[in-house]
Amino acid sequence: MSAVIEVEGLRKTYRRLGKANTVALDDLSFSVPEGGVFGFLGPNGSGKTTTIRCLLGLVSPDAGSTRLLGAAPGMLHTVIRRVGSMVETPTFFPTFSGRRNLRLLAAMNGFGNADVERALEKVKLADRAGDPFKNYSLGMKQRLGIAAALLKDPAILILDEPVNGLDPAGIKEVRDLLRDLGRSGHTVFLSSHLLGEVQQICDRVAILAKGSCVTTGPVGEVLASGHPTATTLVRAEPGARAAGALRAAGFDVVQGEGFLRVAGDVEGPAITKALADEGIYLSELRRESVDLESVFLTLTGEATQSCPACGSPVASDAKFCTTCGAPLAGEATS
Amino acid sequence: MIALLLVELRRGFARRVIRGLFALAVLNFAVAGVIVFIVTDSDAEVAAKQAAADRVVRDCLAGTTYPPGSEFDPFAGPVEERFPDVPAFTAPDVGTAEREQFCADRGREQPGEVRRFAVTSYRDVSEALNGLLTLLALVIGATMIGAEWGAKTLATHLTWEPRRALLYAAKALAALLVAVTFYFFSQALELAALAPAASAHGAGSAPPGFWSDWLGLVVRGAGTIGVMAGVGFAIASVTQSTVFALVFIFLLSIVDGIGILVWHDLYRWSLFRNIGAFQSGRGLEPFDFGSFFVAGRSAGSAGLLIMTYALVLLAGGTAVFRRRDIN
Repeated sequence: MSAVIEVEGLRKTYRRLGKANTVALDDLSFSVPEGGVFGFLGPNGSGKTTTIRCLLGLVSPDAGSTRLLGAAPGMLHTVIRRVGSMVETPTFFPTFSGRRNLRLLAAMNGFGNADVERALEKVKLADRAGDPFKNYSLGMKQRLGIAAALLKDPAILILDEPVNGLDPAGIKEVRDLLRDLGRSGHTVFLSSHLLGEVQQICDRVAILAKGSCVTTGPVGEVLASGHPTATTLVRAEPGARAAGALRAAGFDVVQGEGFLRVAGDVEGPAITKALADEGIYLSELRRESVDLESVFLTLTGEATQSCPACGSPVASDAKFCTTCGAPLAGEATS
Repeated sequence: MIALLLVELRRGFARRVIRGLFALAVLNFAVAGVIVFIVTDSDAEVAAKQAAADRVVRDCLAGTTYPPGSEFDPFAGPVEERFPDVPAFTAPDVGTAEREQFCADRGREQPGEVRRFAVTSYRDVSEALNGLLTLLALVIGATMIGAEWGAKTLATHLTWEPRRALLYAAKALAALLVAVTFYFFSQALELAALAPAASAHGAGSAPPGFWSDWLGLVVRGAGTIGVMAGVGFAIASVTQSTVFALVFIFLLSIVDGIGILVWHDLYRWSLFRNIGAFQSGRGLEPFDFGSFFVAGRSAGSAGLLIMTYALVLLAGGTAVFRRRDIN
């Protein structure tokens, strides 16, 4: 499988007069294979947008190289007709209508009005395409940005937070659209904060932290790398006796507040039997699914607390556990 | 490049500020044309005024005289009541040469002055228009790229045409063409707006060489407009703002004036003075600063100089644009 995006040793520092330099990218390397949806994840300020800007030739890196469809930044014009992109919030002329903005862009690369109408239909913006861009809601601006990216019928689609501001129906539409594009042989490079969305539609991901790539690969492998050992959550009373029974049966048990976590790829019936033999009855037995968010938080160092109910890593500002849904301390007391 | 230029021209002409300028020009010249038509005299009005003047001269020669300033008012009362302080006036005797001269003077002093639109006024209007449009060209050039920085559309455009020098050249050329088009449009409007007055209330035909002289003025004006649009564009492309660019140019004009006082030789190299020198076609007059004499410059040389300035600024703007991070 050939790579459509190649990033090698990319480094970028923003220098501002009178302010400290900001290292946006620090020796960043990854590649994106052809076809499918590639998720590009990272906390705010981790360098996702800067990477995209470097790829599109909007920002010059201090060191390193990028290749988009095999073209270095200086040769981007040879492939630009096959690259659809949207960087952050789409920017168009505020007083022009959405349609006029798209028609002007289309004319730059020899696309016609019919292509514009097709793209507008695809993002369900045809009805409001005659309105001035400045009157659009954030969601409509996003749709127009996606329409502009789709206008070229691109081989690769680079989207930076495309569902920002979209309502749930809009998010689903975009998710379906991107999934379809990925399945039809296009490559979709998707930068997003919505980890649930990414997990649903992406085939591969790369996770950034502080300008570097901490992991990249197929979603399944990345999930496994974050939680290499499978766990099973057990609730039974009394907890201390249950933990003792399981340990006696040879299980690796960690006791939490109101729960037990059994490490390893264990069978549920074996746990049930070990507890039942001691006259202890289960109230919950659940194989813990590892989600992208917990992996992301662990790898990027964003997880600053553990869920008291299930022990999963969660972000410091989270109000509910993303694994078990239990309210967290801040929420419980408020 | 052509496709890119056409897109930029479409974008430029679709902008509200540009359309507003065109609409303002139409309104301005429509009003000006009507006013000029109203205040100038038709052939019949001229004949009536001439007849009145002839009558005054005829009456005067026949012996009727009036104190200066009181003539020809048929509704006024007796002269003695209206001008009690006017000393007694003695006109030259009837039938003398002095009387003829006196009466001819009275005829010329009539209040109904004949106002005709002279074809040669076209040049004066065009020249005045050149000054105003030169300033507007700066604004047009600056706003064409300044608005793009404001709306942050350059990033979007670069994802469609990543060759920055090409994109910059297309945008600069479009700004220049929009400004020059506006200039020719204004000059054409001037011709059209004054045409009724010239044809129905006009006096005299154009002297030999007048129209070629006028055309030269307009062509030089168009050249200056292009140069100034380029200067405005180049500066705004670096300052990333229309307002900052115009403030910068304003400060530059002040520094230019002060600089000439300090360093007299700057007079020959001043952007603003050379614009005037080229536009008028008269060139830059030599200037004597008392202890320091600065040579002048021909109109052609002034034109070349300001064009060089614009090209250098645009080259600088291109270099900055190519290196700059676009967010």
